[in-house]
Amino acid sequence: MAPRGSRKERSILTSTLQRVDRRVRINGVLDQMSIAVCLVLGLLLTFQIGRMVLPVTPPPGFWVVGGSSLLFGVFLAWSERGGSRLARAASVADTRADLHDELKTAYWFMGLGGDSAWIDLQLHRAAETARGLDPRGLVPTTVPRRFVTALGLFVALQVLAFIPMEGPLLTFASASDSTAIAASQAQQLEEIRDLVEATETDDDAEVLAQLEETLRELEADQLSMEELLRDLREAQNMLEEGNLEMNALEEALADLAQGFEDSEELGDFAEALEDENLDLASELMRELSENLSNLTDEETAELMAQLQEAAMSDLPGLEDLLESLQEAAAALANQETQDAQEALEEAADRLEEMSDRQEAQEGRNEASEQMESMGEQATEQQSGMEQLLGMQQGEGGDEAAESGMAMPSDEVKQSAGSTEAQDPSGPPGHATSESMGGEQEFGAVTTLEVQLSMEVLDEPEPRPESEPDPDDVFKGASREESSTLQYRDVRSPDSYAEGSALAVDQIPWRYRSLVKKYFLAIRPRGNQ
Amino acid sequence: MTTEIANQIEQFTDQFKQVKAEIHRVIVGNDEIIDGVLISLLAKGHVLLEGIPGIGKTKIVATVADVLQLVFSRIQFTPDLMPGDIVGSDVVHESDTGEKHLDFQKGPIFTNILLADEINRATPKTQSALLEAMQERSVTVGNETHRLPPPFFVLATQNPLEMEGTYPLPEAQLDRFFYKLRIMYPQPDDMHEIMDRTTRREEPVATTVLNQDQILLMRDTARDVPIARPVQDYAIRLTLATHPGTPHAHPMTEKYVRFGASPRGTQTLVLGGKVNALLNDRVHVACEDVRAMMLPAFRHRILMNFEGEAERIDPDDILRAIIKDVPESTE
Repeated sequence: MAPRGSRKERSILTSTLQRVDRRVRINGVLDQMSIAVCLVLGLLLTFQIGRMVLPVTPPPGFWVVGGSSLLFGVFLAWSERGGSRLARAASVADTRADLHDELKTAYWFMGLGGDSAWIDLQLHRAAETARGLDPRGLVPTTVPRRFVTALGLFVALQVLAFIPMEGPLLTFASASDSTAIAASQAQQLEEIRDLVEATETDDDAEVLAQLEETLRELEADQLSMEELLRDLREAQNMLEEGNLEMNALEEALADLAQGFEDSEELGDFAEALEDENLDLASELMRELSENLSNLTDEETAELMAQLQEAAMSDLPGLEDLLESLQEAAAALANQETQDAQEALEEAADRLEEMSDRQEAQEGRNEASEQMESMGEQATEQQSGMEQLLGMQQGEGGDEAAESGMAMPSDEVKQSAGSTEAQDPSGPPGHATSESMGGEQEFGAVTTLEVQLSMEVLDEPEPRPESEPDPDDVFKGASREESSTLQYRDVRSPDSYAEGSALAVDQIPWRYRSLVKKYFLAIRPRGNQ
Repeated sequence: MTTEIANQIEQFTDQFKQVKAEIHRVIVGNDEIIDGVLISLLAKGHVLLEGIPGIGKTKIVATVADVLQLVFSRIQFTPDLMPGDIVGSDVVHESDTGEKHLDFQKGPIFTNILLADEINRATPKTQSALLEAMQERSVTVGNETHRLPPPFFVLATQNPLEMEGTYPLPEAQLDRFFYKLRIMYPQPDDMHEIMDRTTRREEPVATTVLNQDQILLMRDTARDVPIARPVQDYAIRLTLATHPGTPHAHPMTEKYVRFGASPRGTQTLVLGGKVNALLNDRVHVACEDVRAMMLPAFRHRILMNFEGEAERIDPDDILRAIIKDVPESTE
């Protein structure tokens, strides 16, 4: 079947509708674009304000704009799929030009086959109407007002960009405490790491690696309090390993100093050793080395003897120093002053090395102390938070406490105390703690108090002395069971109409009480 | 051919205007009622007029009958009215030779325009006799079927106030009426005009302007008006919006309506829309033509539920909400 209308009329109608459709599409795209721009700018503005107010890290602006543009492009392609929409254009033209569905009807009739003079007339009239239409005036290109809003949002965004910002105004109430604690702990850990790094020894590489790992986990919020405390303890143990060696060294130096106490040349040296001032001792040793050539023979012999004596002693940790002293003594014995000076210089070097080790250990000890302090603080914070949590839970858990499911710790202690007062020795089997320094604290006494109540049986009724007459029993029962109320007077609690009215589903539930009241009101009251 | 149709349309419009003008010589105001009655007549429908006593229901019908050169009958419905009183009955007739035979004596229903005054005062049995004739346009008595003369147009009236001793028309029978028109109390200016016209020595009289053939031609012309599928789709969506429990149901329908309009209601929208389109010099039915038919065509076709009855919701309010909310196009 051929399409309706003459070729010319169809052409006029189609071209007019296409022009209208094009303009409708342009306006549609502009409208959607204004919405998209407003949304994107609004999003960026929200991020900007959010960054100023809350401790959040918004995505970069170009990601937001890029992603939104991509989404908008996809949306446009999706919404404009399927080519032109002449039916929509016809509806728009009808509405704008007040054509009473003339073009819409004509467009639909154009696709019909058959032969109808009425439809031909309608198409003819519609083509005449379409010829007189001006699509530009009918659907003018309008810039949506939303673009003004978008401009406002853009200006606001630019203004906000110039506001100096020192940090978010607000913090998340729930996250602020834990965030602050984590930040403080990370800072403390960084200070400790710097202290350990300052020792500049190869022995601390393992400790440093562990501290770095702990710090990384702490910053990534991947570390629980227990794990943090465990890591700190391990690092502390590693740092304090050198203390034993240092104590032994100090004891050896003190012994060495005692050997030189009476020496005229080495008196100050001995004093410096006793004061554990190894730098001074090293300096004095160098002075001695320089002044060695100025010593008299007697003094040299005395020095040689003292050095020899010291070198012969068994002082663990001072083997290198004693070896140097031995070499110096030997050189003095052979009157090789230069060799003796070199040996004393070596001894001074050994002392400097020991001084460095001592300082490093002191640094480690300081780091260890800080770790100790940090651990204590962390423990306190954890217990504080647990207490707070307990208080919050306690507010909602009163019912459980009342029901006896929860027993406050104070109450337990009080119970234990009272038991102690009654029986200081305590019953056998009580757990005791030796770490309490001799004072034994007993736990609550375990009691098993079962209240047994005797089962009381009702006394059996006394049996009649003689058996009753069966006739009396039947007659008596008959007398008791006879009806005293005429069945005609017995009324059902609900009348049939009342029950059926309430049982009908068509009565909404909120009217049921009304219906019931109605039936109660009209109930006959004479027989009540 | 198109010129011929254009002339036909022009003639249709002119005749309609003449009839209306002539009716207005007697009836003051009531434009919507007169339009509704004439549209029903041209769309092969029947009209139920509802209004308080004394506002001119019967006068309107009588005037329409005067203007149209058609046979007019009036039946005053009463509780003791029997079906035979309307459709007629077989009576024994004696011929000149003395032979007796049964002859069918036609009742007042054999007319072109029938005024069924206060239709709700007759018993359901009698109402059914009339309503069957309205639908079938024929009457069966005994074994014989008698066609009613075209055009057969029933104008029934009922009084909404006096419900005592009445038999309200069941929903199925209300559906037979093309339109239900509500005649409102006249405005003060109209009242002055009514007083002036009816209290003089001579009352205005309408003259006949249309004969039977012209009316039948106008009916055919109206049915020729084409309707596009999108407009018909709109009419169907309006109908479905009155059906609770369907995807198209309007929220007010869901809340207050038990049953919605029937497909016959949709036919009413389309047929009425065709007449309305011609009256507006259009050769196609527009959505606004369909909308214009909505209230008179549907107000008696939607059945309120308990909640709607309890809250005295006017069906017109629901229909207005549907008109407002149902879009012309689904795109």
